[in-house]
Amino acid sequence: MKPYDASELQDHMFSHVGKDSEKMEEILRPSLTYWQDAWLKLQKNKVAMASMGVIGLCCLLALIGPYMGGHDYTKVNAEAIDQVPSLKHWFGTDSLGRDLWTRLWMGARISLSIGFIATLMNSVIGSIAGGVSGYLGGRVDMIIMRTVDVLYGIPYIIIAILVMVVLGTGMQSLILAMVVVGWIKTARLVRGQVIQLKHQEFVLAAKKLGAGNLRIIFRHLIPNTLGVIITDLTMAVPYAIFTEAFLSYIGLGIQPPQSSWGLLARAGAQCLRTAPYQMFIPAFFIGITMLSLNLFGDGLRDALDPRIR
Amino acid sequence: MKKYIFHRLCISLITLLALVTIVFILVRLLPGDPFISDKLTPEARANMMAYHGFDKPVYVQYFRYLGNLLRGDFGISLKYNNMPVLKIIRDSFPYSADLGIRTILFALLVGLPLGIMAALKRGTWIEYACIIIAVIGISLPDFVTGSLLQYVFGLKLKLFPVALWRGFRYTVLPVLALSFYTIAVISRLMRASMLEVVHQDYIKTARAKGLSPFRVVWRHQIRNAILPVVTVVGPITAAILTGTFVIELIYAIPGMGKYYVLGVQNLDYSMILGLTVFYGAFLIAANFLVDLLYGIIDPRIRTGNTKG
Repeated sequence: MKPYDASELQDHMFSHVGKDSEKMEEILRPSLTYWQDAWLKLQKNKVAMASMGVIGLCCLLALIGPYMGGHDYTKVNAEAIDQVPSLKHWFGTDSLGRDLWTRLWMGARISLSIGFIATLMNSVIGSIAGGVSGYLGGRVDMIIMRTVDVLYGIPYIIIAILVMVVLGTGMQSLILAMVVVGWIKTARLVRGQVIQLKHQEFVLAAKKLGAGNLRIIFRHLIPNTLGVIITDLTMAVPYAIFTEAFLSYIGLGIQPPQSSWGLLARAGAQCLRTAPYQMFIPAFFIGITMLSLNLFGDGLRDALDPRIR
Repeated sequence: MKKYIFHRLCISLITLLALVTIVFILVRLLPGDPFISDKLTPEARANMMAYHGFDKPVYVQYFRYLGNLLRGDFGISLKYNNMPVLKIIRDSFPYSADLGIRTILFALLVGLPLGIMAALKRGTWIEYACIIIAVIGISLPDFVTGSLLQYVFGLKLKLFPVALWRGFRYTVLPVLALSFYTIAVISRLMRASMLEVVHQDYIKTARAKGLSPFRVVWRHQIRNAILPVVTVVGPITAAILTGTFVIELIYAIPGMGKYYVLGVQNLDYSMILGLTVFYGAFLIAANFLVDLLYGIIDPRIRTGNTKG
């Protein structure tokens, strides 16, 4: 190829195309809202999408799994004790002859719903406390933040254990035990965000238009921190499931004949020597769910962070 | 610095008082009274109640309870032959502390280099190994790791003893099981922190000065990157502490966690409460020390207005 020579260019080789101010301002691609943009970014993240699939599958199986094997999850069968997985009992039976496939998915129902409900409640309470505290400032802020400071120093799991001892075992007490001190982390997070946001122009505009404090907090500030709140929520779900499993494992959470993943792991650990699959199966599902939730949370954090493009 | 220490100390003491108060209120909320199950005549029961001060007004009981705690009286176990809870703590805490300290040391020894290597060798198998370990460590509850290790290395391969606490060989599996989560947290944090520090101006300056790459990493990058790791020592202590509950149960280690879980299972109220206060005080003290340490390492914390 000949080297480029500027002297060969003549004026007549060019023509004026003119200026079209319409075309200059034209937007070719549709503008995306924050959520559409986040969804697009999330879809590109294969790990996060796979994790979402696994979580979805677990939820689906928790809904329909118990009816698939045709067994009752509490029915004791003396003739089918500690059976290894077979066509009749897909995941085998436990030391009382109960079908483990059915128990696993009944347990998933309880473990997952505790995880989701407890974290959701924590997020709601934490957002309200943090939002009010951060926006109003002054004395309200001081009272709420001192309370938070003090409660933050008290070990979460120990309060949860005490609340369980006082309230007795069961699903409601479990959720309550997790909520008593669980909202604090979200409250701190939301407060920090709100303090950053509250001096921005859109808040001033809302104020000038006559919006009240509550309206500003709930319609303007909290929706703007929603990305952070949702990320925190996703990361907290595995922790809540962990806590449920831990409390059930030490005998404080869900009680037999009900079922939960922590309880199944505990029962499995007791007959590890004779029937190790009873431990491995629940352990595998706890692990894979935690893994998916953590990876999905990571993906969601990246997707919802406007700084990462 | 003095003001900072004083401030942190006040918060710690208030937290401790709040913990004791919450514990006290929860005791009052417990259904029934301590002697309801014992077959006593009404007269004897009234005597017992008077003996333990339960006939006094609640606020008198509260201050009595505080006074007892200050004198180190944690109450008497209801199930272990009236053994004082303090004696149980004294007998069992050394085992838990031993397990906990070994775990923290092991986790630091593995987690820090892993995080550092992962950040320095980006895109190599070392980084992927670090990420995989971190994700798995965070995803598996310690009772699962504990049981699996016990099954594989104890029962099947017979490399290590299955349970008990009688020497170095006995400590390997429990420490491994307990440190998995901590290694994950530390290496993950260290990696993220190293990657953040590498873009700072002082690293560029150090390189521009012509320091050797090793010196830049060792003297400038690692030193600054390790700061955030100090902040998680508090939560990590708490995680290891609750981890000891189940690990001690699985490996039959006569530590405090095992007594705590047994107390919970037997509903031995005075033991649960005594140990709760002890655990709480221990963790609050640990958090206080971490705050101090952080103030010493990072001068911005102690001079600036920390509370925003």
